[in-house]
Amino acid sequence: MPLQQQGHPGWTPLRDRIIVTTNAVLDQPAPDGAGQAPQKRRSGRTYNFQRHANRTGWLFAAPGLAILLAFVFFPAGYAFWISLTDSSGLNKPTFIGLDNYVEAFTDADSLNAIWNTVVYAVAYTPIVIAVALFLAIFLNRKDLFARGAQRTLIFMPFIISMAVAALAWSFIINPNTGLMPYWFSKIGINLPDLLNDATWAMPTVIFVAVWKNFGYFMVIFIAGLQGIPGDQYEAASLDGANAWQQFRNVTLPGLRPTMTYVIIVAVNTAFQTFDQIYIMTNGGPLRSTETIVYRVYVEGFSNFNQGYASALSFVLMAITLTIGLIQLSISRKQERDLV
Amino acid sequence: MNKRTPLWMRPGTIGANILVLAVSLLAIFPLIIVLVTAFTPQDETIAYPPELLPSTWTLDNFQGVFDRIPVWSQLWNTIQMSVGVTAISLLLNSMVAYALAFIDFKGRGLLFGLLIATMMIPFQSLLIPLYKMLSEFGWIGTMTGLIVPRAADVAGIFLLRQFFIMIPKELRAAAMIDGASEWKIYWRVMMPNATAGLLTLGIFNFVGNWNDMLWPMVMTNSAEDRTLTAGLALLNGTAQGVIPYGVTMAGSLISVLPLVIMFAFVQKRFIEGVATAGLKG
Amino acid sequence: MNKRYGSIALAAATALVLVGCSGGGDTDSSASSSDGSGSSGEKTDLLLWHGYTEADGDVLAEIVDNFNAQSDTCSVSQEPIAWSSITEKLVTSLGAGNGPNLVVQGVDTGEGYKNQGAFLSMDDYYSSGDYESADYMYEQAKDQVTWDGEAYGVPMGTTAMAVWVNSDLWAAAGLTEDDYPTTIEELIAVAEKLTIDEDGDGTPEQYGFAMPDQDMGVFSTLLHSGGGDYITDGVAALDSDENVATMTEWQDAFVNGMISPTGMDSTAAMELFGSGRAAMILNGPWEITSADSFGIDIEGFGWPSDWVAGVYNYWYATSMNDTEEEMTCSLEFSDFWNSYDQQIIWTESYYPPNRTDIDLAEIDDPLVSMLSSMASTSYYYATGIDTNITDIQSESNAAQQQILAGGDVSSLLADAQTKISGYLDN
Repeated sequence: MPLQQQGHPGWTPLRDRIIVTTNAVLDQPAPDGAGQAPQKRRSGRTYNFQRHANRTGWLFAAPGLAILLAFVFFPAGYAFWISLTDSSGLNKPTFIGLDNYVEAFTDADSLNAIWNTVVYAVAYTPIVIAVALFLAIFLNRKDLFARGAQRTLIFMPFIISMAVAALAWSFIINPNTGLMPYWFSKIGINLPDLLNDATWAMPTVIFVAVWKNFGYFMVIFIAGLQGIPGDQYEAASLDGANAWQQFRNVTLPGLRPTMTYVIIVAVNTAFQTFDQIYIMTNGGPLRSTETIVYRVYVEGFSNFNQGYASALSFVLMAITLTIGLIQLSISRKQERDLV
Repeated sequence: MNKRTPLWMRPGTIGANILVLAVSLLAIFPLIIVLVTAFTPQDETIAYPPELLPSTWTLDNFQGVFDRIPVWSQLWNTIQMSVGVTAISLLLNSMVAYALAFIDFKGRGLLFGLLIATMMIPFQSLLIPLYKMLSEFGWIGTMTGLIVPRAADVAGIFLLRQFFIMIPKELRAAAMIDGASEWKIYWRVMMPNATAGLLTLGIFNFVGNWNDMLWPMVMTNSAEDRTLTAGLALLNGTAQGVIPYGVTMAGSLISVLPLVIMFAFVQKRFIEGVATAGLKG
Repeated sequence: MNKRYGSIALAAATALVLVGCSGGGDTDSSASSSDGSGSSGEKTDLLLWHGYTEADGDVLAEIVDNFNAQSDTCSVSQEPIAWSSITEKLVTSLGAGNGPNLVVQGVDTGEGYKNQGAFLSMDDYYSSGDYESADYMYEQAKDQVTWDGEAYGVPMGTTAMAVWVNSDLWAAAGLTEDDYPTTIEELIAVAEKLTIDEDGDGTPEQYGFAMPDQDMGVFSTLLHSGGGDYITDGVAALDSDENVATMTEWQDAFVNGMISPTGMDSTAAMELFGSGRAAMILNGPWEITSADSFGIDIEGFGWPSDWVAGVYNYWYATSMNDTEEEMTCSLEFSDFWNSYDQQIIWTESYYPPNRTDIDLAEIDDPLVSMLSSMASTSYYYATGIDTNITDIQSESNAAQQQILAGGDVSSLLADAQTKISGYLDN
């Protein structure tokens, strides 16, 4: 944390004790400029504080958790139960153990979907983050013309629904009646039939997602960037750092909590891609754009395989959770290294 | 995962401006298409060779939208749902996020992990059990049913938590030394400092709920109860037949316009709010 | 500082008030109560879901009103829901014990729901003798929804597909009514004649046909017309010699004759036809409305073969009909729908009548009469599919697309045969 490094007033030894007991398990920026001394003095005061903290913590979280418990955790639990049965959505489910999960990993269609989804996520995530970060930095510049208007414009794709976005893009790139192929042909480029060509369909779908979402992440990055105190940059440039070094040593570390969020959410959204597939390609051509959630939808709503669909969702969750946890532990480690 | 800022791009104002302008155009191009098509007569929407602008501009498409769906009821429903969910979820999410970020309570790590995990389950799977439950409550087709299940959401909690942990801990410590209660700290110290995060989440939740189709579609059984986005699905959900592009785009425009206007206003406040928070360091 | 959360608090309070008000005062405005017993006194209430909008939907609404006016015991309320959403909503609501009493679905989904116990037998309509219109339904219409010896649906909207022609392009090529093809070979020849590539750049300015290469209705029609089979009674027969010959012929027409662009689904095909770039299209009666909206004059003739795919939508009685009154009302409504006078009204939607005894002279639109005369040679694209429909569709589309783009016909058909059989056996 920048403040400790500057010996901010309001820094008291008492803080040490408090901080030690409130130190998070997860990627809280490591607090101590004042030394790692874990003087866990089990005085009566600290002990009471812990119990008070427990009570307050849960109390604070209670209202929100109540909603989540009823409307998210409970259905999730039920869905997990269903994934262990042969439920069709309309029948009386019978317990079949892990059969659905076995099938999820052996069925050609779900393997295809898992593969497609991974490819999608691996391509989409770095691209959207890079573009968003890049633009966030640019749009933070003071010398930009009509900065507010630009930000609004770039954020626009996020504001329309994916349904409309997918529709609009399909309309534009339609090989027979769309504007884009027509204009491109005028300058001599013959666009392939983007949505019906097995090589181009996936990149097109990824492009639409990047187009739609980079404004969202850009705004988050801007907020994160604004949270980095200006004096840090001053200090760095006084030390003789150039722009790139400032970026690496001030911006990136300062953005860590933001970046963690962005990566996890980008990966998560990538893995949950459904809407634009459903509208633009229906999983085609030649099933090259079928994603896991698309399979979940087809199995659950069209094939009367609710149990199997549920199992697929939990497989998806397991994959993204693993990635998320890896990301969280990496960033935690990076924080410790920093200090 | 972050690209090096290429050396040749760190440059001149002109270069930067051109780049950003190009990106802005790319961003709004499809929206311009939506705008133009909304005013294009049906028989010109699909013409060959395709033209950007129609030869005649018409309001028929908008009339068509109003003929086919109860726009005003649906708009009102959309406003109710979006405002309701956003306001309540800002409160509830921030409380949970606050606890996660500042209070070291037993089970915090586990709770956080659980939240992240549930965020990763696709909604399509939760839909059927959730619907069953809500059906038993008698909440199908009601505004309560639309709002309450959304009154807290994990992604929002996660976002706010990340913003909260950027706030210096001394603030809370100092306030505690001053004898402030947790609630007071939350309300008077942390929330004001998290304006950037709150505004961001507010916008995202508002837009997200406004544009949500699956949830209101499944939760309502009649057109009057629906939100605009779900209602508009009727226009282009035909299995047989050409999508009436003109009407569909007009409907999309009606749905999107309030959001655009709202964002244009909030955008300025948002930047100001964010800037103030940043300078506080 | 105070102002900021003052406003947040105000917003939250407003929201809570809104929720409170609407939660309390809001009534479920649709008649989707699960017990179905009437809120209108003694009448039994039924809820009906369908996907017809605009003109079609209006005609449907009119017939529903007529029914309600003449019935003392039944009252039907109808709700249009986008076809794609009906799928999601049916599973969720029936699974939770609420939903419509009557719903419009095709044959394959119908069988699927029937196997899940979601659709109930409507055999009484045909066998009890109480329902006048039952004797006048087409044979295959009844057969297609007869499973385990009982019929589960009553015809609602049935129609053959016809070949529609852009009158201007047809006349410009010097063709008249006499040139309507009567065999497949003639059809392909005419299509090639109507394909015009003046600048010889390999991309025709005008196509003879707007034929989707990702459409099971079209695919089944091509195969059956060539003497082969597609999917019947749950058995796939794609890789027969007849089919190989048939598709080789069509492949030639696509690749060398360039009669149609590839990569189109039925919507894209309709758009191509509507833009005036294609002379012919195989489609249902909704083409009439579509062409009109694009300002295209059309005429039509029957597909030159004894088998053409058609649309068969049925009224299905769902498991929500748990009382005898509801079931009776459902059957009565279906019967009323198919009564002589109502079927004449239904033709205003451009759908031909479901009855065999309609005097064609009473139908206003000659195009609809033409469709009506083809009713006996139109069939649902496939029978016996009760699950994995979407996946079968994906595989069929993949095969169709690759064949018409120039791939190896026999291996592609064999491949599709294996995959689709796998899904059918599941």
